[in-house]
Amino acid sequence: MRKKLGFLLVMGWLLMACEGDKGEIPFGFVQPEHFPAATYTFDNNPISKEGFELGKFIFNDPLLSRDSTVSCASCHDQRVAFADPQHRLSIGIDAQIGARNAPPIFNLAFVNAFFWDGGVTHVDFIPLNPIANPVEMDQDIAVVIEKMRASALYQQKFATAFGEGTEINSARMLHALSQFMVMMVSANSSYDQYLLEGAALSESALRGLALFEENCATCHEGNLFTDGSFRNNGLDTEVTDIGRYLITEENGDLAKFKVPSLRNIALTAPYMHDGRFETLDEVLTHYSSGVQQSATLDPLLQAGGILGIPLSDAQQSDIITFLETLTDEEFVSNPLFFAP
Amino acid sequence: MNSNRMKKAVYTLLLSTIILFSQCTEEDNGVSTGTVEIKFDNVVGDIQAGLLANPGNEDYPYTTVLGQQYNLTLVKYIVSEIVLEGPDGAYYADELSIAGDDVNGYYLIDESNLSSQTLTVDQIAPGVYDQISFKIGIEEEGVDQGASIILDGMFWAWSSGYIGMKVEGQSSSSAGESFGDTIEETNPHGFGYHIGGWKSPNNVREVTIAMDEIRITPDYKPEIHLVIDIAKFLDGGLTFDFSKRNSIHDAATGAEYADNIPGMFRFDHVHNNPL
Repeated sequence: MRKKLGFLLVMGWLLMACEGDKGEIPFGFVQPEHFPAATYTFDNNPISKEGFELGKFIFNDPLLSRDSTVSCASCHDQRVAFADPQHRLSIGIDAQIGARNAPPIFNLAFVNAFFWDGGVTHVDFIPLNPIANPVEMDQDIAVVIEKMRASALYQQKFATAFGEGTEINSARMLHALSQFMVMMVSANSSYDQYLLEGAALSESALRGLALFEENCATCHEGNLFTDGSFRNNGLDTEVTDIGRYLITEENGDLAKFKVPSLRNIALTAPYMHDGRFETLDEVLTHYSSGVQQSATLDPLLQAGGILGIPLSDAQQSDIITFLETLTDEEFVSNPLFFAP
Repeated sequence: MNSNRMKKAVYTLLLSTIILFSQCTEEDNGVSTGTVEIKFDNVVGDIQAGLLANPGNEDYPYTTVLGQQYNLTLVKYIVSEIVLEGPDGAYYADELSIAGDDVNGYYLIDESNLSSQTLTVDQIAPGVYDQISFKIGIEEEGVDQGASIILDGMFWAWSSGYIGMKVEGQSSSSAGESFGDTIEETNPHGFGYHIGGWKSPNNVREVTIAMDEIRITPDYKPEIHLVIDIAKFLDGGLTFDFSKRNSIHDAATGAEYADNIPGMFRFDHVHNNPL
């Protein structure tokens, strides 16, 4: 027993010495101190530079689609926080139009509900949807793996990422994509600098922040700017998209959608699940005077019998000025995420 | 010391420590563990072999209680969370892990793949066992671990989670336009029933089976033979009517039929084989 303790002590000392020797920051996920703890299963998929690079390569490769015309990057552009800058509803294979607006990609490591209906509960499973969807990439995952196995380039990249002699399979492909995507952390906007370092915000932005906290922060909660819930925010009187109902098949979930984060919101137009609003002005006008009554309308949008959240033009303008401080220039211009 | 050599030294030490610890565990317990084989023998009523037909085959050898004739083109299910229990308190729960290639305690049984139908479960504490239980499907804890090699073909992407059971085939009573792994929408008589869902509703079902005693010791490798009657899935509880519903591809529709699953499984016999 004493001998084993000795071993452990020596080991511990060596490990510590090792850490001290490095002198450079290791590649990996960094938890922002003002965010909730990451929930991604890093133990099952440890991040490495090589795995991340493979994920980035796959993200940008149209091989994922049936006729090699559509990649993830086709609808997720870094310059606009990996949203789709061009289309209200994204354009997939054979110029088909998708059903919903492409969401931006960032801060995936901290949440467990993805897509507008929250049907996916783990980052690893996200890519299965656009790959298989007949109006997006329209390809069986097994065919993707066949194509990769037939490629000397992919054989080499998987070997580099996961070790010599490892098989190319869907689990590894999904792990590589996750390594790329969970590294997309956006936590350095003007608002973050204000919050963490006391950097200045304009008078208008500060008024907007106060209004936001009073009127919007129940749903767009905390430093991720979402409470992760599913709500009907009064877009229509009739159900035009069943939303969360697709997943739960409960009538109370008809026309409900995930409350989106508002980080980088000034970059990710158009807005709402179907991209119906082109500007933040339109969004604020909706909440102020455009909310429609329906069976599943959120109670917070009909408090005291009044539809919506009445706000003056000046108040709406201040809120938008505040929302613009949530743009993270460092994230959208970070060369780490540039296409290979 | 440069950092590579340093790492090597650390690894060597780590390795020796692990070796020391594992030796220690065995000595401390003073016992060794045993192994059991579990055979999942799929049948349809009295028919024990050659269960599957090719898509397009219009011979229908099986008949449901509604008198509807059918054949089968695919039978697959996931077995998980195997537990063995004995009359004197012996207890074994199969270790579970499901991450990438590292999959333990989750097994895909595929009627078209003979080797998938025999599971080997080891490191069982010695003792007498007379009950086996397991689940068909994968509970939330498994889904929450992310990608694994067994999601291929047994997974719903849009409402992400594993499919616990797939039964596909053709029936003269089906009007077609169904779909599945072996059934194209153009198939005029296809049916495809996929039972999945782990949340709302949860369609993972537990199966508990009393069996003859098996004796686990380091010197014996017992075999447990279970028989799984696919006909019981189709008409053992709530009866499928191929003319009214020939597809199930969501959790809510599958929920009432999931209760047919436990009735498919029955004990057949055991062998207490000396090694």
